[in-house]
Amino acid sequence: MIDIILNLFQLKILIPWMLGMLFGLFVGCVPGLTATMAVALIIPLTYYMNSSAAFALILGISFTAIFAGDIPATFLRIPGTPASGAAVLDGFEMYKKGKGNLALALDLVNSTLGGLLGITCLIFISPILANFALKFTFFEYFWLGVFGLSMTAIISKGNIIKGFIAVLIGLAVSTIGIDVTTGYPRFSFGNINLTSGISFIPAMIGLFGFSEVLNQMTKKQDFSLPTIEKITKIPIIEALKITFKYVFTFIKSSIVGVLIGALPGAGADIAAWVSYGVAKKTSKNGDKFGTGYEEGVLAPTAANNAALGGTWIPAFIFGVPGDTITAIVLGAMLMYGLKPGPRIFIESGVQMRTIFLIAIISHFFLFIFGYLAIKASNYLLKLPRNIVLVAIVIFCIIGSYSINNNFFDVYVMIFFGLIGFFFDKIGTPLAPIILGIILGPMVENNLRVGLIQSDGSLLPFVVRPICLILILMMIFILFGGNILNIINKLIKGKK
Amino acid sequence: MNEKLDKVYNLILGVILISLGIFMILYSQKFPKFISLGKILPGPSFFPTIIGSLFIILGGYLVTESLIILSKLSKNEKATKNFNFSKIVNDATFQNFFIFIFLSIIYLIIINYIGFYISTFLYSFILMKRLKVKNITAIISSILIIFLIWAIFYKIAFIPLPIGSLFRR
Repeated sequence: MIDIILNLFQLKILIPWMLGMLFGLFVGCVPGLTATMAVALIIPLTYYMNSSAAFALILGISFTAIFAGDIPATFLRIPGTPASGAAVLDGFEMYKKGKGNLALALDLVNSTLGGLLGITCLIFISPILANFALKFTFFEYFWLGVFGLSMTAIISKGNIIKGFIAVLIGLAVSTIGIDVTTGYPRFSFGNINLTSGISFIPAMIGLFGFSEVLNQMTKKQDFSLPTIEKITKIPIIEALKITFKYVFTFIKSSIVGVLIGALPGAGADIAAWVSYGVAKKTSKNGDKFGTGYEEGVLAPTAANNAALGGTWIPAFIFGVPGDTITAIVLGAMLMYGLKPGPRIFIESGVQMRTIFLIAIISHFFLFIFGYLAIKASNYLLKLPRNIVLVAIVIFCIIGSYSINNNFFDVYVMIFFGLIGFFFDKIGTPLAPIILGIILGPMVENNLRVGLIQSDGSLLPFVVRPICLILILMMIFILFGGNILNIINKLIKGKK
Repeated sequence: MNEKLDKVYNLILGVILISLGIFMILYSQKFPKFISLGKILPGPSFFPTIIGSLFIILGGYLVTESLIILSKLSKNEKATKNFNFSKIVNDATFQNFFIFIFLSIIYLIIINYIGFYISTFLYSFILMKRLKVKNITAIISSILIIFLIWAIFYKIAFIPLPIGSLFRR
């Protein structure tokens, strides 16, 4: 083991590793540039490296990018990556209260610890989790999607009807484009751009980022003032104390992250939303979520990095990628002679141990690089607000354009920006729209294929064990409190 | 927010939702049926019809609730009294909103002709001037923003930035 560690600290591995982590931070911070894109860009470079350097580079990018996405989510209300969407809710509110650095310190601590817990699960219980993940069929995936959508009721800040309207809008948007089952273009009106559907990244940038710029521009304020008044310390110790205080939320969120990450096709973004909903519902102070509450930052940030460990589980054990990054990396694994399968830990023991060590050490580097990134972002925000606002708008526009090199996505971003702006004004929550766009295809496709497979019967949707567990969990999370109250009243009545 | 105004907005939202729901249901009826071995299976219109129906139900709820509450509220609390149209239109922040959207659309149109560099400089400079940045600061900041985007998107992420049809050979 020591040989492997010493081997990892050679310059030919260390340099690409550090560069990968910096690149990940950079990509994560810029809206529109995703970790998947960064890994895809870097893959050709790995052909000239040995396997350890290649995996250090790839893992370094993916771990830092997810954390870095939370920085603009906290300071600017623009999630840098899709997995940072849920971090906006309480992170930005904390920033508005002058606690932006505490939110990011919490974020950094929980991303690091959550990521480490995810890797620990990958090392020790991956065969069990992989077998669990493979039990998921269309029926279970449908309920997983519905479970995610049901989080709307929790994140809607007491306005459930408007929350459901928002989630329906997201679902409606997800139906635009080619129907996966039949290949028929829906609601495309002959427009080639609409045929390929609405990408949720420009929608997310618009809903959160562009709408916030609109909001700032229509506020009576002195635009020449800096975005943050003074650079304060990054309170890592306080963040550690808060994490310790909410240790059960941390564990719960990380486990949710690993479990959802292990499901092929799910991933860190869904994990973050679900863990936020679960944490809010099970917290003693659930009503404080969404108002800049520390637990609301802790839950999604622990979950999204823990999910990364989870995504590797089915990839290693069965060769089934958990998300797009692992799909790209599977190709690289085969190139280096690593054959995914149940015997991978035996047949490629040394290489696997090397990968695990890289993953663990990467989290320590994440802590250092993340700290420096928060510090650097503070200096950027010392610039006058009028300059920062214009820079944000241009980054929103070019970031949306960069997804498909197409200005159609920019119009989508502006359209959703306007929706976000007006919905904010009438008290309609924005997060469920993103939830609907992300989960719409999962719910629709699995419902339809499930119905086709079961000859139109709904029975398999409710009798399969995992379906039942998911339904019961959903009922418990949504109505658990009410049910317990009724039971308590009945018991007291009998007495 | 004024309760009456809030309900007026809800009423408008409800009407939009009902219209959207009716449109989704009617439009999706045009989608082809999904028939396999003589059986009709859930086709492309299946999910949009469900969503359309839910839009109508929730929209109907909002409209009904808003109408009931609006009818209960006293007439002298008319929501329209809160509007002073000329005051709103002359408000600098309101103007910022429209100028910003207008400039963004113009930027997206001209970027195809004069390319990223010139159009972004103009867009950034005009926006900064609108937000009361000094000339020299606006020029330097605009150039720096363009440089940053060029470095991040073009040099590092290999994303081609629009050159503009005027400069294309």
